[in-house]
Amino acid sequence: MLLEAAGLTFTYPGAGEPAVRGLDFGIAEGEVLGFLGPNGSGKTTTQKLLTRILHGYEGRVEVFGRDLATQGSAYHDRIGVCFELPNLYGKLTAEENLRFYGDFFEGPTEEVEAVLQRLDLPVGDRRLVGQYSKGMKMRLVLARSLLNRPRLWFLDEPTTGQDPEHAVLIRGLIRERAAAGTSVFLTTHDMAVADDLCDRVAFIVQGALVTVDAPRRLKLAHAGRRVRVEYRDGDATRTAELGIGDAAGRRALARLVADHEIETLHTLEPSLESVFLKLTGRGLH
Amino acid sequence: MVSTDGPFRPRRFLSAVRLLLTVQRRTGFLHVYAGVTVLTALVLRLALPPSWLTWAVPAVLLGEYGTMGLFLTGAHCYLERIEGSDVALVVTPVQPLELVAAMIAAPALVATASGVALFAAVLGLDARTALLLPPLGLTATLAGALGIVLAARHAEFTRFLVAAVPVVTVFSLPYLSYFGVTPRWSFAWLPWDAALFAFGSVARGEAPGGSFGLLVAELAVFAALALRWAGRRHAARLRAIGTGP
Repeated sequence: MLLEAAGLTFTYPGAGEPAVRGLDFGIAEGEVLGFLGPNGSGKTTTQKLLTRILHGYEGRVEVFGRDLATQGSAYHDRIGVCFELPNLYGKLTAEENLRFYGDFFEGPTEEVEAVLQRLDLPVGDRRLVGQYSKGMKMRLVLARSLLNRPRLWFLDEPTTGQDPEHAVLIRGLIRERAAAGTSVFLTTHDMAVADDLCDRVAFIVQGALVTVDAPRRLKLAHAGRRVRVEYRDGDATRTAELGIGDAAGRRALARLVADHEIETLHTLEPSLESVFLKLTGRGLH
Repeated sequence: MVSTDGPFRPRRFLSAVRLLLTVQRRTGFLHVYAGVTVLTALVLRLALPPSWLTWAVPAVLLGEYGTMGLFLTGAHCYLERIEGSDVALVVTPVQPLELVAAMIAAPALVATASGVALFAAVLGLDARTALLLPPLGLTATLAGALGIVLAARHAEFTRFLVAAVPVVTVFSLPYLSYFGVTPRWSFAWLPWDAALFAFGSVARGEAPGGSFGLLVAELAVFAALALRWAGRRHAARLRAIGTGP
């Protein structure tokens, strides 16, 4: 595992209850782990702990084979952090923002122009970032997090403020980086993004993990294993939903297929959101 | 917080200075220094008799560049806070002391250059002007460090302004001894006193002897202490970023 957390617990100063408690999870090389939960569930706190913005946790976290608490400043040379807010220098151009930021890293950094192009941001633009749209600013924050070629990439709601075209672009970039071996810690409450991108998802509610598993396995495990059939009945089209988890349901489906002309037949998989709802007893919004 | 276990890297410090100078130029800070310098030079040359200038210029150097350094460095801290750009730097290898030193050095460079320009414009550019560099640079460093300390203590800019006024007032007390209202030693314990008398010594063209050296040394000690204090306060504030909403 590139990152392994055991019993990770953190209480904010002055707070009675821990914000996160007893978290056990890991991220493998090239894996995309989604941290999903409603607002205030502990997603961002976990990310702040793992990026060393917050200190003083209990439990053990090992990253790159070393205890996180003993990591030096070189740790930040190896991670990338994309924030949920556009925390950029508004009085600088996009290129200036990236160049100045890139100068702080010790190792080789990406070509600024290439990163801008990859995220569909203008190269050679003399406009100040303060004049950019929210979507452009957020893509610039994402570009900035890539500059130092991170091995572990923290993304907080990376598609926030993006139109569908750019959301697709960002998803493609995340897939591309993961395929190249970058491990991704993705916090989101967008189940569609998580379902699309994540190798595994962790559901977190009120600071505790409910489950950590692959989205497909979660959906299958919590599916009612049902199908929806549209079939001809004389001149009319009728619809039936049948459970196929038992012999009676399968026999009913077989009879329907034998006796009628079938127009459509779909398995009814639950969405990740409905699995979340079922497991946690609450929604994401 | 920013990692604190790494060495101070001059390369990162210089990168931070370049970054902050650019931001401050675009924000108009440098224009403020330039405008104040030109206006003050005009007023001093047109309104005061020449015999007063060797006394007036040191007082103005301290009053303008000391006070402006404190307020503008503080204002820069709030600018970063509003934009959230300080948080973005927390997840880079840059060290708090590198950042603090850059936050002080960027305006200090401008203040020093402006002070020398004012001095040269009013009293003329000659060999003594070079002597002005150490006390001016150290005064600007001290002022910037105090600006960071105050900004780190107060979440809101208005609270910072309210807190800064008494600081500036207390630090201005040496004017009383400088203009002979109180005995020379009355406020020797204040760093502004060392700055004021060092500027005065240069303005009057006194030979740089032991007393000038002592004044600069006193100023250097205060500046070093203030830099350290600012580093600690800034690091503490960065730690608090994570615990904010």
